[in-house]
Amino acid sequence: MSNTNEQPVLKCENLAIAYKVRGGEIEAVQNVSFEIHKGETYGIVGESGCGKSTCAWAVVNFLGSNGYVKRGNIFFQGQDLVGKDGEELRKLRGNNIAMVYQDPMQALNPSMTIGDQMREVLTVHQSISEEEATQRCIEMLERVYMPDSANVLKRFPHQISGGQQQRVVIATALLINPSLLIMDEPTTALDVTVEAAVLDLIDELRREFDTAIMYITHNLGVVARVCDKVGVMYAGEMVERGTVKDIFKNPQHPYTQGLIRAVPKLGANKEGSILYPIPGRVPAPNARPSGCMFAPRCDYATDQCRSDHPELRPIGDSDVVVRCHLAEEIDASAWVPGDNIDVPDLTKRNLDTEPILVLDKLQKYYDVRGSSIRDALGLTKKRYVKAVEGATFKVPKGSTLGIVGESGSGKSTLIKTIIGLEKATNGEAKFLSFDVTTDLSEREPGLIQELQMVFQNPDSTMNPSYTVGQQIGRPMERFGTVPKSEIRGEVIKLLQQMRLGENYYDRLPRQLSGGEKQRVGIARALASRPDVVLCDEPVSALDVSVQAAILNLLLNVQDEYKTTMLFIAHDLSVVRFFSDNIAVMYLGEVMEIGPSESIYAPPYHPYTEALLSAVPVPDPTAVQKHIRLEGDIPSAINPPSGCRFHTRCPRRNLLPDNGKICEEKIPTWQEDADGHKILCHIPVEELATFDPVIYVPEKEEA
Amino acid sequence: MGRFLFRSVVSIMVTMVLVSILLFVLLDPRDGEVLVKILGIESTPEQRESLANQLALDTPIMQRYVDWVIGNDWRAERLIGKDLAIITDPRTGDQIWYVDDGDGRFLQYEVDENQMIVPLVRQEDGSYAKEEGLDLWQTDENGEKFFWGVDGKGRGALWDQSGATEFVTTQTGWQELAGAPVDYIPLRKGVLRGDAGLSWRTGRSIFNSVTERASRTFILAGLAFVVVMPLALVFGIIAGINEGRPLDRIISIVGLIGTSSPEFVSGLIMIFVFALTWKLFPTQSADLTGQGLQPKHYVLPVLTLTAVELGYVVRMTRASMVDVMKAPYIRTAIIKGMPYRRVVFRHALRNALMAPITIIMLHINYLVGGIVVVEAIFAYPGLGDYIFESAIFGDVYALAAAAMVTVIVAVLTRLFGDLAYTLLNPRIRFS
Amino acid sequence: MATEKSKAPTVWSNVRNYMSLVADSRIATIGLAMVSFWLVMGLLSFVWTPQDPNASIGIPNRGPQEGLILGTDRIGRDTLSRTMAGTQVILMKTRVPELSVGSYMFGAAAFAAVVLVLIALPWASDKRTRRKGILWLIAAMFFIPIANAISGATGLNDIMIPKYSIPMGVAIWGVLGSLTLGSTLGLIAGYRGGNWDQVIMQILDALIAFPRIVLYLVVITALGQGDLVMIFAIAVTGAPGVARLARSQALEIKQRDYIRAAETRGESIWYVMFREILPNAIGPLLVDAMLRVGYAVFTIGTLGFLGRGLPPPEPDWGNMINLARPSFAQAPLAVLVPAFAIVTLVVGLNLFADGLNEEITRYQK
Repeated sequence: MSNTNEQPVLKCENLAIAYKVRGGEIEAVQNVSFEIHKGETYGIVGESGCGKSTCAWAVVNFLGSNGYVKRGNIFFQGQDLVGKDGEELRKLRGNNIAMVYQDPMQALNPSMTIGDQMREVLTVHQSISEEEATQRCIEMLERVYMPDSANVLKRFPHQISGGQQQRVVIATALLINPSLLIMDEPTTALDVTVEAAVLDLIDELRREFDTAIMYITHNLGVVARVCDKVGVMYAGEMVERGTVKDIFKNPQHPYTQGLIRAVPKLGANKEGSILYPIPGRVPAPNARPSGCMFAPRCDYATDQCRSDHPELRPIGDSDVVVRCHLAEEIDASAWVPGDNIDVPDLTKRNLDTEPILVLDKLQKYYDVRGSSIRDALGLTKKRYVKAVEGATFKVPKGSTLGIVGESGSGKSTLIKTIIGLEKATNGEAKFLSFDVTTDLSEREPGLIQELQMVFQNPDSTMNPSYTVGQQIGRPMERFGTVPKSEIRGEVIKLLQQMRLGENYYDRLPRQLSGGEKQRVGIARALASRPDVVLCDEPVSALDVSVQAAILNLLLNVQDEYKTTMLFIAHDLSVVRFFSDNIAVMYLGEVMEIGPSESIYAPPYHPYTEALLSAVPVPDPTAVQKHIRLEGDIPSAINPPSGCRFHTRCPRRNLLPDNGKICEEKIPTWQEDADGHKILCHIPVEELATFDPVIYVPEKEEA
Repeated sequence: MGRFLFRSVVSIMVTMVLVSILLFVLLDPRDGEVLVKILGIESTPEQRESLANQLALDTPIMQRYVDWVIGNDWRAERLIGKDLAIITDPRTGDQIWYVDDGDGRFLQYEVDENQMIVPLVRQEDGSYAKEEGLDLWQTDENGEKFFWGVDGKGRGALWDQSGATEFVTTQTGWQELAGAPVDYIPLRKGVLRGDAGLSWRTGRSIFNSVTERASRTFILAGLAFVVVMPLALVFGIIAGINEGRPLDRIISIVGLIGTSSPEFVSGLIMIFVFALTWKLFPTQSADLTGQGLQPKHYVLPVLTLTAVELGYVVRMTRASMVDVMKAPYIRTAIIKGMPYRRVVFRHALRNALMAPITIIMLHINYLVGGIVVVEAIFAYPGLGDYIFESAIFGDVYALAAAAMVTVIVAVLTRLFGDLAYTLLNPRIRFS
Repeated sequence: MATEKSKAPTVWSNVRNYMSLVADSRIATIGLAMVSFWLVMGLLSFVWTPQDPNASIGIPNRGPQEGLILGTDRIGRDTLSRTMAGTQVILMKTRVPELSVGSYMFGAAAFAAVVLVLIALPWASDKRTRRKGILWLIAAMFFIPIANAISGATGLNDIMIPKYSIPMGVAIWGVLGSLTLGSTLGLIAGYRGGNWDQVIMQILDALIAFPRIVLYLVVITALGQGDLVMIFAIAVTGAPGVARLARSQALEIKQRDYIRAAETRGESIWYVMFREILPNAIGPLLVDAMLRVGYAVFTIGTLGFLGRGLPPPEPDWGNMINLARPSFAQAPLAVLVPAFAIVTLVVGLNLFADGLNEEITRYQK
């Protein structure tokens, strides 16, 4: 224990973790080594199924009844945790290690007050009185910027918002002043603006408490924002590790390079936002290759890669270590996409100016039922959730409109209304000359056929009881677009266009990966040859390497079929290269709409600006303006008067009287150029003077 | 909360209406089988017809349903033109209907051989004094004479001068009486007003029998509940936190065998072991000596119910506990370094009890169902026994009324279950 | 037609899939073995029993002896043979009594009316097909009166059809009945939601509020004892429970995107309910049905014990116990053997269902 700087807080050596299953065992994690020092944030990054979380569970000895550490050691402050008995570990854990994980609502006990859950950390382990514990809890909550801390202690978890819940979980973790804090995707379940605030908090606390943080995430942007060092995991192994700066600047392992190419960048220009997928998929733990794990997906793989398993080795004189035979020979900058990758053609086609979809003040309200007797008898005034208010825009034929907004922005309701799953409350919506304010039961089959949808969740997009062929064939059969005898052939043609072979025809959904399910979902939507396809975040549940492939596929399909698309996304990074036009929604209202490039450069709507500033950019060198929204998104039952954004707007102080007009008057649309429109009281000329949110300094020649 | 209560109450009322209609329609004695039951297999068609008339089974079913629910005294009062009164006979305790004369006299009537209407004036001791026959006849639009009154048995009755007869059972057999009414209204106040009429089987007020027996059954059910629930929750929780271990397996299997053994199997085995072999408890729980029921009378019925019910509730509690122990917030608590005991009692227990509580309350239904059998096995004079006897006899109104009581118990316990859930679950309480 | 054909077997292939899971679970295998034992006993009893189950051949109330392995009952009948034959009425065959052609017409009309209502209710709950649904519902109301009128006018009530038996026992037919009735109503309630849900569940709640045995007693008191009445009673008492399960399944499954996809294709409510939802809900419903067969065996036993069960002459376990009860002390086997039969069959069905359920949950993960 000579020098704290030299002894890492956590050190894993050749860690291998196995799960016992029927008829043997599966090694979920192998050959993982890394160390985390005091005051350091160590990112563990990788796609799903790479064993990131398993490592974390091993550290806290929570592998379940069938998991165990098969080989290797876990040293915590010099003591080996492997083989320690339960009681000793429990004490160690309670006093020194804390953990924060993905879904804060799940992590908090729904039937205990927040105060009870926080206090017990102090009272059970240490002889601290209730009052003192309460005091310390309040202090800690204040430190994580929780408004109204004293009262929060008396509440139950469901009474506070998701972002606040995560603050509570973090505050609870920090109460014991842990030496090691493990964070497993702590912001994945949160909205971008909330995520940004929580990430700021994590960064700040790490500096203040000098804690070692093990930060697990799939998001390279988050790594770039909060981590000092990073370890990249693939198929249960650590394939590369080093400082964040080095890894992002000069990734050595082909997998790391692929990941970086597959992530949306939000850089300065549109070309930089093209995504390149990694072909293939992560092998299942029981089907891993004997050589390099990545060889089957690697562009550079040689026979040596396929037969010999590479070891982690340092590269040059940097701190970077990499598990690749060819690290020195690979030049990432010379990479060109292989034939097996679809690359979208960004030289845009001439767009028809003729609109195919016209919305005018479209409105969707839901009834709210109160919980009092008076409500039940219908004595109180009816209340509504104003999910979509006054949506007005045109979508030109063959173009893509990206709709961006956080949860509660009404983007999903908007497309559900257009497709007819919901009946519009008011306003007009026309597809060509057909009225689409009605719900599906009032639409003619011919109209239904022209509007189809691609769904978000790959696991629920396909009916588990039917084969791929049956599900794609059904729309053809239903609308009679293809004679019955030819359905099979048509389905196979579609499958091939989706880059799925004929042999997929008779497969059941459970035999497909997430990306393949999404491809089938797209094929099904296209089967009836619709004019308009509405996509509800079709890639948000997929791994980054697959995301890119699906997006490129959609683009190519659109080119071929001349389909008009509406594409929903929850942040601005994904839709950029994909959309012709983009609409930004907040609390049921479109705040800004225009050609896609105009959204990413000033003038912006203040909300768009905040969104852009919140998106984690996978580039540690990028300079991002720091704009954070305060408070939570208001209730759509009682939306704020005037401009709906005024309660959280960071820019209203630019207007006289601290933006009094924003509270009183609904702003009018201000048109910039090319149909770029902003719903704001601040004059568009003034908005245009803002600095761009993201600035990437020119890279010095390496 | 207010809305929840309001909805529950409305839903309970609707349920009761539906149940009463269902019972009434289903049990409607349409083919006269019950008349054979009452009169005996050797009765003549005339006798059966007369009895059907006396019991008003020849009126339309809608009419009888209304009579059964809200009574028919108000209808009789309109026809008779005077108020009716119900007075307890001090000699038998039965409740008898009279016409309230308005001047302090309570009357019934009969028609004598001279076609005169004889008022029978009630005396203090419950007997009556015959008065002089009067010509109280009224005339309808066809010139026919008729008279509406209450007959000597306290039934609303219509006489005319056609000289109808009625058959009555006496202790010696059949008697045909002259001067009988041509139409009857078996007076009752209706189940809503606490009067379901008289039982065909016992001749006593159904309402009195049902309340008396229900109170005994509640004692039995209450005892069983008090024994089963704590035991079941404890075993369920023990099994739940030891999921997959031998202790869990043993509890689960014993519980399953208990639940799978019908009451009459476990009851008979208990009688065999505890009553016949070891002679610890009586074989029957009936009050044979007239000293009232002793605690020992309750032991075997309660044990039998426990054997059947325990396993089910254990199973529910176990499943809920297993679920909760896998929840992420339990993981949080363990990673926070909380002692195991605290994790179980402070973090898991309350959440684990939420689901079973509603199911347990629903299960009271099964408990009541089990009691029917247990009462039959042990001859315990409770509601279940009454239901069973009424069903065997075909005493449909008694069966319907008793079944209604079990349904009321079921819906009320369900309401309590929902309330308990609301109280335990802050997500509902504070929304 | 190609796709039509390939779709039909998927429901079945699902079932087959679940069946293959049985082998993976020790609990389910033990359960299946216990159930199979009684199935084999029952089948065997049709062709061979050690003695004639209905003949008094031995000295009453005796223990095991030569030729009468498990002793005799109160009137000297062989307990083993009677216990074996007791499987028949609950699992193997249903006895249709001698009925008039008119009764058959009534039965057929009632059955057709119920089927029609089940078909028309989903239609009526959908705006697009509401008119058709309501017309069919109204038509269904006339089936029984018309059938009665015809048989009354033509004297069909006097032509009798002699009694006979159909395969599969009372417990199985009854559970199939509640499965059909309950799952249709539950799917409508769960998928349509709103007022349909409220009305259907309110009606079913009224049935669920009855203690099971009380409802059985009520039905039997009203309609008399008999195999067909027992089937009716099992179907009616079980339907609300099935409906609740089907409803909760539908509520969960209707959240899935593939239901949205079917809706955005404008599929009919029938298609969505029975082609998209049902195949995915069938597993839990079948597991539940196993449990329900167990309940039915349990209840038939109880009613037999109370003397209100299935009619003679075929032996019935509950009734056997009832008859042997007074001489329990002298001849305990006459009570214990049929009791053992009931308990093992019910435990077997429970284990089978539990094991299957565990495997399905594991499989779905």
